[in-house]
Amino acid sequence: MDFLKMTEKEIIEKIYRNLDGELTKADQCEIEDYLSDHPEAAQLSKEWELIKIQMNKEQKAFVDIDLKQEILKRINMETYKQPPKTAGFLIVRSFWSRPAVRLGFSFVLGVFVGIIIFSFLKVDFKKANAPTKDMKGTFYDSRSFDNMKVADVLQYEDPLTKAVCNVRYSTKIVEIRVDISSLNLVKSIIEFDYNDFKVLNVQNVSVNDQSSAVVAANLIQINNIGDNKFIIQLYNKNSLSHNIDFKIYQNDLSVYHNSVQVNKE
Amino acid sequence: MKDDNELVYEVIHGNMSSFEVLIDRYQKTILNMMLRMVSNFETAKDLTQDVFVKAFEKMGGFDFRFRFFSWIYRIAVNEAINWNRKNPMTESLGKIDPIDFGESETMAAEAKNNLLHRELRKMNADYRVLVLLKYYCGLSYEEITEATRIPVKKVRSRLFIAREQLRKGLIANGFFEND
Repeated sequence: MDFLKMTEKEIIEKIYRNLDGELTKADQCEIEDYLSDHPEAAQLSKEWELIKIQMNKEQKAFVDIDLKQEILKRINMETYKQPPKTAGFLIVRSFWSRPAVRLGFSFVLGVFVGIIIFSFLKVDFKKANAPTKDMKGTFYDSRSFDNMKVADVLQYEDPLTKAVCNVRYSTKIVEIRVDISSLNLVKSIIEFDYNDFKVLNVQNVSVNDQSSAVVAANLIQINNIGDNKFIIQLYNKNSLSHNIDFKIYQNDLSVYHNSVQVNKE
Repeated sequence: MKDDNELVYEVIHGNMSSFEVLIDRYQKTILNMMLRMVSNFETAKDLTQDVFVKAFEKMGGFDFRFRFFSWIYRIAVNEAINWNRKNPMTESLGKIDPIDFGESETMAAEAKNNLLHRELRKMNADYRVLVLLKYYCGLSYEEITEATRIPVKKVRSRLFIAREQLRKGLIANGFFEND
């Protein structure tokens, strides 16, 4: 031990350890030498020795009364119905009382309960998907569409063309489902203000090779021949009420024009 | 003589006389530790009984990897600390029950004892319990760690602070005068 390099706290700690008999013989000799050269440290050592003597005296004077009968009486009264478990059960309990086992068990139980709750919430997948069973490729399930507010269902029909435009909305999203069938080329235009809406997605759900959808900042143009289905999603930039125009052109002549309001007050 | 854990095993198998042996072995130390933690004989007695009743109730879950004494001391330490938290030291230190030394002890020794007791009582319960485990129950640092679940390093540093506080308090109150 190099006492010169030790702090005062470390030296005091060594003195305590010496008094507690925790030092090796070599260290004991060194600390004894140090104490003989340092009266202040020797004083501290002496003081703590006196405290220990006093504590030992106290230990000898420990109160010794027999509480056995009172304890046993309380045990009989309080735990009569709950005697200690048998050793066999003891081993099982000590296993289950380990935190890792408890946490693991809680996790598995939580997952299991979660699956059950989830399966209750989802109720019937087939039924929920029924209206869109032919909408291949869509990742928007009909549940969200069903939960949206109905803006309007626009319909147009003449001998050559039939179009149904179902518009629903939530605060931020407008979903438009267009079912259109025509013998010849028909242009259907969905027009809006690009300050209000942004096109999120146009899904060609069931579209033949002759038909297509063209997207611009302020409109979506569907060029249709035959029977086709589209799902269009728009993002309402400010969640306010806006109008969306629907136009149908045959041979570049407007045959239908209507407007739908979303986020109605 | 059967060791503690053997006795615990027997208690779990319904042998109450083994539990009586365990009470005999530990009641004195625990009662005296409690007495120094709460400074009231009746409360110390009640808490000691509570410790053994709790030990009996929990014995079914005893982990045989540990030693019984550290387990029961832990129950005792928790009881004492909880009691101190629920009953912060509001009473005058003069009201502390003096520990009876018997007629053979001199008045000076009794005064010193009461002074030591009072200084211990002034100490924070978390620190006091370490002093009691070390110097009254005679546990090593490792055994204190086992009983309190406080790391050895922390036990050492807390004991250092506690001893210094105790020593300085005793100096201030003239404990070492006439020595």
